[in-house]
Amino acid sequence: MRLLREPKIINVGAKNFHDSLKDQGADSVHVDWRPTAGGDREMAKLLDKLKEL
Amino acid sequence: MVTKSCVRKGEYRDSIFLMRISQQLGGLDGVQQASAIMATDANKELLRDAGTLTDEVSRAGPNDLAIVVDAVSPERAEEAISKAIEMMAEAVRERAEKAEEVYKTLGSAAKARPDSNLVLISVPGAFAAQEAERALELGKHVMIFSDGVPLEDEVRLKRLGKEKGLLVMGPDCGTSIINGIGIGFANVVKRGPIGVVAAAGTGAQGVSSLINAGPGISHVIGTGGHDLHDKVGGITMLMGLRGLADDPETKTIVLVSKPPSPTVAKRILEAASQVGKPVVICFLGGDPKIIEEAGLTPAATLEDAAAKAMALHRGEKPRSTIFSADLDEVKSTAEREFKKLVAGQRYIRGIYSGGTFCSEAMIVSRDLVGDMYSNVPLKPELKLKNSNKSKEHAFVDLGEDEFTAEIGKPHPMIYHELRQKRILAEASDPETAVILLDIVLGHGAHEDPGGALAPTILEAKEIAKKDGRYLSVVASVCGTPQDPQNLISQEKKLKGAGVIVMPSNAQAARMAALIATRGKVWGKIVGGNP
Repeated sequence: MRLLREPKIINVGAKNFHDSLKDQGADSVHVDWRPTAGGDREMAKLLDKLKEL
Repeated sequence: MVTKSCVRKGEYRDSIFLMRISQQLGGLDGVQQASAIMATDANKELLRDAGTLTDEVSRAGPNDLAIVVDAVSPERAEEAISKAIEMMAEAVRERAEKAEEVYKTLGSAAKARPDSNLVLISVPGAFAAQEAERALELGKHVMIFSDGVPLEDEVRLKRLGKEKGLLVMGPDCGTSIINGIGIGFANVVKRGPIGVVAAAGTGAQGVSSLINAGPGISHVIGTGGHDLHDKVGGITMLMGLRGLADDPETKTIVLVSKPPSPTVAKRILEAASQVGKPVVICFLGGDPKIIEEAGLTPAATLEDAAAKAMALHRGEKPRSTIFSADLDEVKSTAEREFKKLVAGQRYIRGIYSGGTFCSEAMIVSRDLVGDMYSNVPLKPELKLKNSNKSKEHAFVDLGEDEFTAEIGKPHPMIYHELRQKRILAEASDPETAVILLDIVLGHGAHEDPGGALAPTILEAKEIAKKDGRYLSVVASVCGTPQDPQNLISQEKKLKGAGVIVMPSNAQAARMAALIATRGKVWGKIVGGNP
């Protein structure tokens, strides 16, 4: 498992996890996640469908 | 008391950041209660229950940030709200100064970093499965810190991961250490030959911290608490086990979880007996017989698991640790404590932040002092009717959802107010003999838990003293000298407040039992006749 030799991380959500990874010298990038369509589930589903097209 | 609020339209912040704001505001002069939250229906409901839902916040939506402050005067409330806005602006400035690339979506981050191989997800539970599925489709391993993900989603994600040869750690996975990097809540441990697969975050932290004093840790793979559920079938534990079996750095393996069903246990034990490396299995509270029958080494507690793994690694016969210190010294420490108790002080009150530590302490104590009440009881009939009120011997896990779901009250590993209140309440009860605590260090935890709890412990001891009693406090610190909070200095702070600090949670539970029973269980503990 390559993961166990060299973890390279994408952090989605709480920023402090990314900060802590960086403090440890880890390879991490941060995604400033927010709910798709402002948390409107129906709208989010529509957007997902659009992406598939 | 006045309630003031402020709504920031379309401003999204993650829950841990918001908890930190709530925590800071709660500590301001004249502020009774403060919450910085996203205005979701669930959060608004909680505000309504607390009687602090303002019109402005009730009109806000899930993508709006709301700050609600209950204070002694309108001025104090306004001050707190300004402070919150200032903290948010400060975070934006800091990020701009670091000039670090920040991505809007997982897809764009993955495109920019095609060689990334692990996605750590800590978004609200309702959205976590969707992000995890995207990550798996992109060919990345996943660690889901979020909880509140439905079991059906977990099954679906783990099956998909298995098909693609990708690990799905979690949902509700608090701790992993991969190649020396602590992910989520993790202690700083030295690299070494022992690998851990754990279904519980504090279980993983407990075992890895203890092994840090020995040869060290190769990896800790967290599975999340539901992995061994019949419907999931231990997919992640089996894949983690395989990963460690194939990993040349890992020479000895430890598995930690609650006892699974017989079907899942059989599957795990079969796989473990075929890895060709020594495997120690701690099914906390489970029957050791099935493990021995599979030719593997059972461990009764986290400490036992760590000790046995280290012994096996040295090629020695695995032995259990009862107390690490000289037995005479342990006995005289207990005597010094219980001689100061007065008649009527009979009970142990465990106030825990780590769920696995709470279970471990109950398992150790029940053989010594009998049944105990709890919000996470060992038997259903021992459930506390009211989790906020102890009865006889009582152990509470303050990390349970019933406590953390309360508005602006983050996990007790980050925030101590709940625990401080509970310590003082137990100190006022004339039947309390011993307060038993766990203190968890490492990345993600409070920056100075010992410093935060020491004044409360002194106050608690003072309450008992004024009533003509003595309050004994016993604790263990889960951590390492390399942790940002430093194990040694944390232990020193607690000892300074008169706490009996033991080297492990299991030993702390034994010490508490010795004190509460006035030494009567000594024979039972050290192996003599009860």
